[in-house]
Amino acid sequence: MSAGDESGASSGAPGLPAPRVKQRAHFSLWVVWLVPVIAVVIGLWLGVKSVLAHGPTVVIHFRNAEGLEAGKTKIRYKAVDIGVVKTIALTPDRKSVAVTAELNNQPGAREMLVSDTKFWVVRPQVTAGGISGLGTLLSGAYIGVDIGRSTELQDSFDGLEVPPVVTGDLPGRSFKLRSPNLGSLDVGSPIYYRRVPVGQVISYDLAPNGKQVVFGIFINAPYDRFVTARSRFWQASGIDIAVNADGVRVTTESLASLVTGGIAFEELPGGDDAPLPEMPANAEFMLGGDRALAMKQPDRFSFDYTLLFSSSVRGLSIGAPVDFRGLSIGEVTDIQLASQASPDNPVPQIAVTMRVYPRRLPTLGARPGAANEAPPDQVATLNPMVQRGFRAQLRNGNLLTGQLYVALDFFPRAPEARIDWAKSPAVFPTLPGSLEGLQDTLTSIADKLDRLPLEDLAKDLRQTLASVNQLVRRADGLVQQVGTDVTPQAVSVLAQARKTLDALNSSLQNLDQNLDAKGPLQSQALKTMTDLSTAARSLRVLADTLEQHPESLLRGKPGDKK
Amino acid sequence: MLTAPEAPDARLATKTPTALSLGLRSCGACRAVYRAPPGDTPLACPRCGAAVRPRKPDSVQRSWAYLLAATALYVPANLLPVMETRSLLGVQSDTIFSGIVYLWLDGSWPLALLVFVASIVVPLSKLVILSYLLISVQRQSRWNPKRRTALYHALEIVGRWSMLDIFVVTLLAALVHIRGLASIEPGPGAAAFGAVVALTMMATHSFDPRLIWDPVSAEEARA
Repeated sequence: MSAGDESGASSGAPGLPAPRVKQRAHFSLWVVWLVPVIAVVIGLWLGVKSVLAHGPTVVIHFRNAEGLEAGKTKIRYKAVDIGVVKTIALTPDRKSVAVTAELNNQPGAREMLVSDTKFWVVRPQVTAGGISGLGTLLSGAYIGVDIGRSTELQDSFDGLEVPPVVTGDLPGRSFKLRSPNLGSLDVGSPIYYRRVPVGQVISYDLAPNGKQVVFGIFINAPYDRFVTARSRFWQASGIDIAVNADGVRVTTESLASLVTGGIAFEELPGGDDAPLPEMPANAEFMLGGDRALAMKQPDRFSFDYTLLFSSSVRGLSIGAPVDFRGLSIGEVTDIQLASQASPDNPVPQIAVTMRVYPRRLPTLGARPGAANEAPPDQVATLNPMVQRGFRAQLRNGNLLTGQLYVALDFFPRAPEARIDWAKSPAVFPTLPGSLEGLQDTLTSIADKLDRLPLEDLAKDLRQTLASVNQLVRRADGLVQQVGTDVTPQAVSVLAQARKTLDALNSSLQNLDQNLDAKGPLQSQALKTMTDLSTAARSLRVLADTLEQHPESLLRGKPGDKK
Repeated sequence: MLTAPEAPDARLATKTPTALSLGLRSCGACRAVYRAPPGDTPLACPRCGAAVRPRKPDSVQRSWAYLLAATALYVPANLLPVMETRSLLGVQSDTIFSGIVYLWLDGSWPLALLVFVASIVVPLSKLVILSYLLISVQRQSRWNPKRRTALYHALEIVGRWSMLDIFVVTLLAALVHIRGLASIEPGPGAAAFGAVVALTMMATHSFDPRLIWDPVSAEEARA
């Protein structure tokens, strides 16, 4: 451009016009220098913004990365996206998957990554208790977070394989339950308080010694204040069918607990109305197998006794109840042979050890509501009772299964016995069981039967039978004789009788004809009949006279004397 | 800066007369030629009203300002993503360089080379060349003015083509917008990159190539 200008301007310069003077000055130069300043500011702002846009990074270890995708899988808290998975890689030991995720840059993002924050993968899940994560069917899995309350920052986590049932921000309290077995409970099983669902099982694990299952449960506020020192928990799984005097009663906490199992708790009955102090979080309770077990008074005092039985203890098992007139006051803890057979002891006995909880039986030394008080001296209490016939006996608890239990009762006519306090445990006197007694009676009856002269009786009976036989044979002969001798004669007699009857019949016919003809025979007969009637009257008179005056037969009519 | 001799007799001494050396001014818009009045008053073209100036005013300073602004934005333009691709497979942010690397690894290395040249080499060389030209002008260098003029020409011609990247991003962002399946959005780097290209063009435009020759003319006048 400039080159062209210059080449064209080489001639004719003197005749050129002059330009006019410009009034307004050009804008000052400093405005131009604003441009790089603004550019630098914008550049810095962009840089700072992009640096700040990167939130904290977190590494989560999962057992596998099923459903997770780098750059796509979101991290969600309360259904809000708070981050995204950046990379998914195997750990160097190839045992788990390290998922690196970046949280969105937002206030407090770093504070979300504390030591008790939990991560888990949300996938569609169908359980007996319900269906969850259906939305992830279409959207794909996402990583759920439960932000902890700790202040200890952490950026590497082990992801949970199972989503937690209760999130950390839910008001309430968690407790621990110990149970001999898991039952039909599972994580998420409901917890009922007076049939109101108030919480859930959040975890279960075996105790370190492997002998118990420790449940973690969570009771939602405000129901957590009902968990007190007097609370008793039991497994409310399935159906409880009770047969009692009222009939059959079927109890279940809810339909859901039928399927998934459940736990119920209640306060121990009795006790005053004063509110008990609430239990602190993570307090431990025992989980009873059923309501009755859970509600039992805790047995703090127990005494062991040995029972020696000569009879079979088949059907008696460890744990069988020890029962006083229907009250369970203890249990069988051990069954073994008492001692070796010896010349002194030719019939070895069975030693059954029973554990008696005296608090359960007031006569054994308990006042109601004094469960924690030491029971009175057993020797002083039991000796007089044994003198009055207090004995142990094996009884049949169930005729069908033959289960035995130990019954304690008073038998005033029992042979005298005493407790051998010298032994440890003390030997408590026993009586043969009711079934044994029955057996004894049956045996004596059998003995008596055995002593009966059954053979003589049989011989006599046989002779009698033989004579009866002869008698019958003779009677048979008689009957045959009657058949051969009497019958022909009878036949001829009958023929003659028939003829006679025929003749009689014809005579009667003649007579009939004569009567019908109103002939002389009839009138004569009538006359004769009249005469006969007259004669009969005379005879009656005579008879009357004779009846009134029988002497007239000798002396003649009384009127004749006159 | 403007050290060109104003003396009317100077034109007789120069080998190659210039408008400046002849005491002439041309209108910046309609190219009408006027006689330069003495003094330093701002002049306007009586015909079209545009400014009549011997050289672009404050050419070097303006050019420097734009150039520095472009340099400042060149850093975020290359570090920040120019394009965010959202698809079912996830979100992918691409910087210019990551796109080149992707193309290269993908095997389409001619395309990678093309993008590399157009998006990285050209803007960078523009900055460098313009800086060199400005420095050389400021130092009144007389070295090889012909080649430097050629460089300036090349700058002017090639400058606008750097906007290709921005065109591509703009087109894709407008075209690929399938809700839920895929969408492409320009990233913060795209704006920065666009600003770099625009600022380098402005810097190039502010630069007055006649300044390259002024020291040469002055030397010829002295000679």
